[in-house]
Amino acid sequence: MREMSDTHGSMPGSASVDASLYLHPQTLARLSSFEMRAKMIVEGLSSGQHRSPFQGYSVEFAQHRPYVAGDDLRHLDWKVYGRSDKLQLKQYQQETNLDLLLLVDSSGSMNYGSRAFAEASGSGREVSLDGRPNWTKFDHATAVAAALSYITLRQGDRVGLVVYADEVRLNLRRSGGQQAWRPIVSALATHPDQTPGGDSRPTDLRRAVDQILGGVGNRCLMVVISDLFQDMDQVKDAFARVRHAGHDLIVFQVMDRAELDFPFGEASPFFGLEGEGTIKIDPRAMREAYLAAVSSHLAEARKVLRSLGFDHHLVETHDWLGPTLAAFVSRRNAQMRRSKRG
Amino acid sequence: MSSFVNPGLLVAGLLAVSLPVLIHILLRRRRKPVPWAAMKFLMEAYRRQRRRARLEQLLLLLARCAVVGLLALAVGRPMFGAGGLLSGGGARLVCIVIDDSLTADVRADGGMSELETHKEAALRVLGGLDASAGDRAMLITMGGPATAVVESPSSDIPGVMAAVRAIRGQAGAADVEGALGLAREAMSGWPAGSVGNLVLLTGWRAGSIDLTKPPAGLNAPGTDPSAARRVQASAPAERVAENVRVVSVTSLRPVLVAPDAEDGRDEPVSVEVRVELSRSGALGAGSGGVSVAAVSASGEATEAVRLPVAWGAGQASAVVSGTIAVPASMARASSAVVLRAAVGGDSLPGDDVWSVPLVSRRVLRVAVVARSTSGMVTPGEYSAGDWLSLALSPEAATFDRRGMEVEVVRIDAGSEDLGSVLGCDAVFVASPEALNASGWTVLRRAIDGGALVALFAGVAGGGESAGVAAWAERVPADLGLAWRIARESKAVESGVAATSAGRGFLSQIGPELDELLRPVRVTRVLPIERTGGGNGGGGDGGGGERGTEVAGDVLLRAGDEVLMVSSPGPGGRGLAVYVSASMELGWTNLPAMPMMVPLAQELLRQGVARSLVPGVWSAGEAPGWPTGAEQARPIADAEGESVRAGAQLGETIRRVSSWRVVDGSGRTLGLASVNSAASGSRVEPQGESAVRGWLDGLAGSGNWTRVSGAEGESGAGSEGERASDAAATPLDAWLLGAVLALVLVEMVLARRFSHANVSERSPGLSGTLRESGSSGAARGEAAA
Repeated sequence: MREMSDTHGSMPGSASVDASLYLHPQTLARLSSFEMRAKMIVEGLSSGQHRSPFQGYSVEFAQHRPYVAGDDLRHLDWKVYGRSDKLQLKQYQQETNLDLLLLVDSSGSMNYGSRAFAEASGSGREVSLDGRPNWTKFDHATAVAAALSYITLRQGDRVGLVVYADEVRLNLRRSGGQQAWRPIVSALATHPDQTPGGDSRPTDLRRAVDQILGGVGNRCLMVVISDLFQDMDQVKDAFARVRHAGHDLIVFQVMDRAELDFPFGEASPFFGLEGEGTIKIDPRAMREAYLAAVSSHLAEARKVLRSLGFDHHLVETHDWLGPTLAAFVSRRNAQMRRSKRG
Repeated sequence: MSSFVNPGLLVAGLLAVSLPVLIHILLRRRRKPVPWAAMKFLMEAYRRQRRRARLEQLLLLLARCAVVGLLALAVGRPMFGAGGLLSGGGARLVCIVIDDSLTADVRADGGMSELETHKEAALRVLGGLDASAGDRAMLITMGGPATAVVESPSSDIPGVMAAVRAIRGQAGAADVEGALGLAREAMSGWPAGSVGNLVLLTGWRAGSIDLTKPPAGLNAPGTDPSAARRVQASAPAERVAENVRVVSVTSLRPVLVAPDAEDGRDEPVSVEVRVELSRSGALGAGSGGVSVAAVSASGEATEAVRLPVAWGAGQASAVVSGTIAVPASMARASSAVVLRAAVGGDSLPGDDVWSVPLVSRRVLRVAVVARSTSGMVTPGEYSAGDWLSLALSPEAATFDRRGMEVEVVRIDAGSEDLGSVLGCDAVFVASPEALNASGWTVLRRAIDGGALVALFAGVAGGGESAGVAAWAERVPADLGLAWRIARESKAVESGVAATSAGRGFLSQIGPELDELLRPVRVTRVLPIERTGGGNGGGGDGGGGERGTEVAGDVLLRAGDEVLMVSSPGPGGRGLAVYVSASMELGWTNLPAMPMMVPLAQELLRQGVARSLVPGVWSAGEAPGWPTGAEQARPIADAEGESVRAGAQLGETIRRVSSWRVVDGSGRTLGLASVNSAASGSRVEPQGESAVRGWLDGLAGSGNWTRVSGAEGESGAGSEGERASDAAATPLDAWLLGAVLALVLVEMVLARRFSHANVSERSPGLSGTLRESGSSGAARGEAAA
């Protein structure tokens, strides 16, 4: 696992990374009007706008619970003991900061893109920094991650980044402040798996989650940005572990329009980007079965995530990022409001 | 085993079957690989669709290969049935008999002749053979005499095809029996159990095959039907051909004499000609005509004289006469001039020209061999030699030899040297009894040289005495003639009559002949002994005369006795004439009668003409060449090539032309005329039923079929024939239909298997998601 624990603090003015490639100014303007709120109360190290499920010591009382052996005696409510002769512990609601942990898929399949880079980036560049003329799914995932981290950092929350494929390929420590944004974007834009000649690794989300959960002490909002091109049983297993660890999770499933429409006509050999080999097919003959398989996969992914109480969001690389994120944030806020009322 | 008309095209087509496979492979190789991320789903779809896709591709490939393969089969023109796909395995032997006779030259409106049609049919049959499979073919032409062009079955099919292409129409009549005989002889040697067909290609016109004569069967009686040789025959021609034929051209004067003009002017020689024509159909009804011209040996022709012919309705023959002017220079330039008559505009050009050579001379030289006389004699004292000389050259009495057509040379019969007679056209022997042995030898040489030798009776002692004709035995001994002349003269008292042969011989004076003969009396003859007393009459050209067996043509009779008889020389050339009465007044009053001069003149001219022209033959006949003949050279035919002659060689002359027959030294032995065969001009079509009956007789009922693709092929026929026709149906039409059906199937399959309409049926997931909602979550739900 490659650890990038340090940040590129001097991102403004850096010649190596142009963050605007992945976050169009229009997108940022659209996002700035919304607040990023967690669906659930997450634990934070700094005071913020988010409610924490952890009962602290100097915050608003929440409830009592029976004492069990091992509990800190300092939290016993002696008044209750005096009235009822029962040992009850006091629990408090604590306002916390939102830690956002971005899990970006860098497997070989994310290196596919049928959209022109110049059209997608909106920056006027014809090719990517490493010379690719197409806008890949990883490019789009980078843009989504940049947008989410930007919003989160503007709210004063912390953002961490994990890039994974068959294992965790990069782990960028959570940090807050506006200066933390550029290192995140830079780390994604220069990730070696997504540069020409880089490794074409398969996806192993379960392994990556295992590695991540071991290093995350507090509860946080995890955002997985991936095409989820692996067995759904493994995906379900991985997300179940996240749920078990008490984290919230949002999945942005990134897919190229060509992957959704399969617009090929001529019989050609197709070779997989994760080392699946090459098959010679007539695309028109395969199209119906392919679309059925994709559709089935999407339905299953949504079903799995819904069953775990997580959100699933399909992101198409040919769509502008702004409207998609805006619709998402709006939906999240609405859910949080309903949660507060409940 | 090949059963295809065009095996070459079949092979090429079958090779083309690999084209779809090749195209498929090449196209697959040229595709640029497509990188693909969602391989998981594609592999899943591929596993689901793989068997179906392979099946679809296989079906498409099979359909396309089948289209090409069937097309190849169609252009290969397979034959189904006898001699075709059902004819069993093993090599096939084919004997092709092509009618290249005069009759096959019939053309439809000036187009392709029936012979060309036959050749094309033969090439189709040969194209269906496969030498590599052991197929062999032989080739026989039917134009008389029939010829085995490829004598035995040859595996060199291209060579046989080349021989077919090289066939040219003959002017002779069809020799069906000869051709079938050659075929039978060859087929009898074919291996037992082999598949063998006789392909008979003819138009079945009257001139080709006489259907009234049943043919000998091709298969021996009791032959196993499975081993029987089959016959494939062309369909009979149905079109009525319009034809006019020149039957003959004759000149009233058989010898063209162009003497030096008396006044120095070179007047043309008038030749009266008589042209006989025959006609089939209604061609030229009410009009038409024949052109007659004289052609020199060098090919120079006089201006043709058009002799009109007015054909009446239903008239089948006509005779026209006219006069043509032959320049004297042309007649003098060579020893022969060709008379040529021509008609045109009919459907059989092969019989439109008829020619006959005429002997031409500046002057006719005649040697009169007689006892010498001394001093001036009065007519009452004229010897036979005197009378003959006077009759042959009456102008000589004027002592002006210019303009004389006959030059008489008097030779003493008792002379030891008679060699000078050899330069003469004719020798009139007035006193044979005076000839010595060398004289008879010279006479034999004269006959062999093509001269006319006329022997007049004479006995030793001469005059009216009844002496002995010791010389009579010289005639068979030295001259080689079959005449047995009596040794003693015989007193008779009889008038003179002409036989039919004599009337032909003396046709120039035919109208006055009886009148001229009436006063002629014969009182003594040295008769020819008859060799039999029956009514054979074979040699008596007088037909209808009392039975005598005298070699030659009897021309004149004196009562029961033969007065004048002619016979070709023993070598087939020259002409010998015997007159059984001496030209002396003691034997007959003929010398003093008006008949004497015309008789002598006609004897000279007709005799000279017949001595030099052995005959007029039909093309393809074996000519009776004179002894010593080595070569026949065409006369007035610049393109003609000399042919070898000689009876011993058995040569035939097939080409219509006039010929000069020469010996080894180039000396002219005679003239010959070869014209198209008269029977070959019978172009009337013959009935279908008659043809069927004839073929049933040849091959056996139901054992013959029509040649595929031949002109006039008809499905109508007897039950057996219909069955045979059905069995021999070419499959190309059916195959082409199958190809079209397969093409349609292939188009439907290709359309269906190409999934070209998938995009219309299923717009893809992005469109569906977009229509379902803009939010990502909604889109996820919509996708679900």
